[in-house]
Amino acid sequence: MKNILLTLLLAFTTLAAIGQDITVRAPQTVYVGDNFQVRFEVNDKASAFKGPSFKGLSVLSGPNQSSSSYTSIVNGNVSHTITNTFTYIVRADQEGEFNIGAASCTAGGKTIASQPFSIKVEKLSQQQQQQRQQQQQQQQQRRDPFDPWNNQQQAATTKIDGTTLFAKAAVSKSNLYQGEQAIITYKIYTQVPISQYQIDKLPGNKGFWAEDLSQGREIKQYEETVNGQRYQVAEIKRGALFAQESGNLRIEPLDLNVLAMVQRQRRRTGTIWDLFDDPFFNSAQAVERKITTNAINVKVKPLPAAPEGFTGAVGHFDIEGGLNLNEVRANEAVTYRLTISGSGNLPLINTPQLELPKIFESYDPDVKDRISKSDNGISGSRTYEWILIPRSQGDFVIPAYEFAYFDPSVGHYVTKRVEAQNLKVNAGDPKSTAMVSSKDDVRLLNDDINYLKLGRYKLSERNSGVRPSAWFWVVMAAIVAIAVAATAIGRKRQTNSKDIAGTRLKQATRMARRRLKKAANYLKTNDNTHFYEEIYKAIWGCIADKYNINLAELNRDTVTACLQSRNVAPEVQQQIMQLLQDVDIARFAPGDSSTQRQAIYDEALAVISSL
Amino acid sequence: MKKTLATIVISLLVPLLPAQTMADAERAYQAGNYDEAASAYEQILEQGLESAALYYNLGNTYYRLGQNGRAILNYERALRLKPNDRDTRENLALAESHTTDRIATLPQFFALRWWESLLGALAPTSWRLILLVLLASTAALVVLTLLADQYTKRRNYAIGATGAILLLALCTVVTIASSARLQRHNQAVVTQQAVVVKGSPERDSVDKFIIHEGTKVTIDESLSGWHKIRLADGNTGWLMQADCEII
Repeated sequence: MKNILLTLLLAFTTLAAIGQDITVRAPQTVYVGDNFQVRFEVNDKASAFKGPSFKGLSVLSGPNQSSSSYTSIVNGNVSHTITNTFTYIVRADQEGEFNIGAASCTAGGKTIASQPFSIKVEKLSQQQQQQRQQQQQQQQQRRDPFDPWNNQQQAATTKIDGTTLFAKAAVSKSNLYQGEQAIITYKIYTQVPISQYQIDKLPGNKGFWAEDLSQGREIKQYEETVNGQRYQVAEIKRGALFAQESGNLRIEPLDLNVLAMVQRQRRRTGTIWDLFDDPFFNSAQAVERKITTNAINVKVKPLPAAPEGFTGAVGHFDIEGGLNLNEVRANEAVTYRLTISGSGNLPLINTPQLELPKIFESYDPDVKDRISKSDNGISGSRTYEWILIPRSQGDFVIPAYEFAYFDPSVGHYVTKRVEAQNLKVNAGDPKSTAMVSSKDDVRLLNDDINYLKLGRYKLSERNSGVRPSAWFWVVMAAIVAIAVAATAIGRKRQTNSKDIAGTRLKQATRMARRRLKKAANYLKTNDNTHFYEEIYKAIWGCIADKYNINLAELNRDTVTACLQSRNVAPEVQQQIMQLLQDVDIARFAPGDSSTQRQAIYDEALAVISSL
Repeated sequence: MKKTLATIVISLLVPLLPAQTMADAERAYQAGNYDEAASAYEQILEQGLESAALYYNLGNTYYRLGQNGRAILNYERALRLKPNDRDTRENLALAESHTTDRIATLPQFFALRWWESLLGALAPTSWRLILLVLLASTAALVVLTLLADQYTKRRNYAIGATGAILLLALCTVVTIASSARLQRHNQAVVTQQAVVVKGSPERDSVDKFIIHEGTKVTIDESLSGWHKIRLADGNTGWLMQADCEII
């Protein structure tokens, strides 16, 4: 404040030295279509102002008079200054050089006049036109009160190069573990005012999972000295990086598009108007610059061999959780909750696997994240909630859950534990039980091998199964032998039974002769009854045997039929029938002679022989 | 002198008592001393004795020891002797599920497949028993045919006998083939964790592929120290004999 006052006072004395005059403030060069101001300033009370002719230019408004007064006291010396300003707003319509005449007015009882001057109107090239449009927009943006660069007041430099404007990327750690959190910041260092910046291209960082920490935050600004030079620093972007793979990874540079405000070099007039020679009043020119941050190489160490219960968490965590109830009815839900809190790669943690007794029906857990982003990275908590439905009653133990994470600050794994918990499941509501108690398939819990074969099993010589044993050959030979024997015996039997007729035939004559022989004996002894009996039996037996006739069916008719069917000669038939008749008669007729008996005997012998 | 004599006597006696060793092995297994159980079972095998149950138990022991390749080897050996044992088949399937290599089996001609499964369905001894039963029935039918006195009866018996003879012929062929199969040891199981199969039977020849413990291979040919092997998918190469064990 003191400084400003001093500057003002100094300026004042300079003005006083200049004396009564009309100062013209107008651009030397404008472009077609531009609106610009032409100001005439008088350091006194001015009246009867006569403006110049703006031939070739159109005056949009003016002269607009404004005045200001300064009172200053220096060492008891009071001075009072009034400045009158007459402002025209003029538009350049066409190309060319236009001479503006002198303006005059009366000040302090004297008529004073300004110096005539000329304004050059140039035509814009297309490129320039675009640039200007852009600049206009940017100037509008510059007026945005939230623009951090807006109230920046510093010594303006016309030069823009690598030393006055550059960007830098920095990571908090360049040697880290896989999954460890590293903070990356992108900063712009500048010595020139910047109206705007734009991130051209966000680098896709291969091998990293990135989380933007600067979203929705104000940009941090501070001053920093680098190599003895003071810079305004703006932290334009901050992010948390988690390396997803090990090895040497490269963080790609960030491309920025920056509009720097460069002041137009102006001749110092040595008047009080130099007072306004600060950026606020300046017709600063925006210059576009592309700047790029440095690339960063990061060395990522792989994690050591993971213990059981490691789900990918790297950082510093704590775990808590458990059941919401200790007693529940069957078929009613209980909740098992695990909350992992801390800082690190929380969003990258895999769902823990609970080992629950099989009577619990469980579903995939509900995951709730409460993650906060700060300048130091990601922290917060993640909660898993399982809904468990016990399907039968009893006392069960929810086993302890062990959560392992890798702590990069100490370089090893840390295991935290949620203790085992008992759950008493009471008998369920019979109504609800009835609804769910459908038959279930027997579930295979774990695959395991079948048990040993116990007991005294038989051991045999190796490869003994390849050759058939002696028993095999014995049995085979026995089968063949039995078959052959059976065939032989069967055949014999069959021939025998088939030849009963033959046998009778064969035996017929023999039997008949034997009977006849007996009959001959009876003939000699004159035993009448036995003689006929034998003759009778001999003849009938012989016929029955010869023609294979059943004894029960044996009578004259069957014999006749049989003889006829066998094509026996009719005289033989006749003879047989005669003999049978004779025997029947002689048998039952008493008192017959021995000669008759001899005749019958001879005839019978003849018949039997002929048969 | 006395001591050595005693040692000799004991060492002569101990192998003579396989039943004792078997009981020891079972006890060791039940107590969880799988190493001990395995060496006891191996001791019985060294005496030239074998049985399907013995191989099965040894397979279980190796499974417990985590030596999946040897477990598969012994289950396979058990199945050679007793192809339709349920326990062995289940355990083999479980052990095979832990192997690393997934090898696509080449499709086989269906008749060949049937033939193979027919041969593998029963052990040769069982086939021989069937053969004897078939022989007996065939003989009975032939005898009946020869003795039949009526034409229709004889014809029916003859048809039956013809069928029986055909079956008997088939059974004879199957029995001979399955005996031959039992005699042929042309399959092996990889017993090392991972082995490199070479392009030719030389140490510095080109590596063809890598197979892992428990993979079954067919041996086509053997040279000094090397087997020429074939995988189920038809790939062939040379494998060091020390890296696998013949079933």
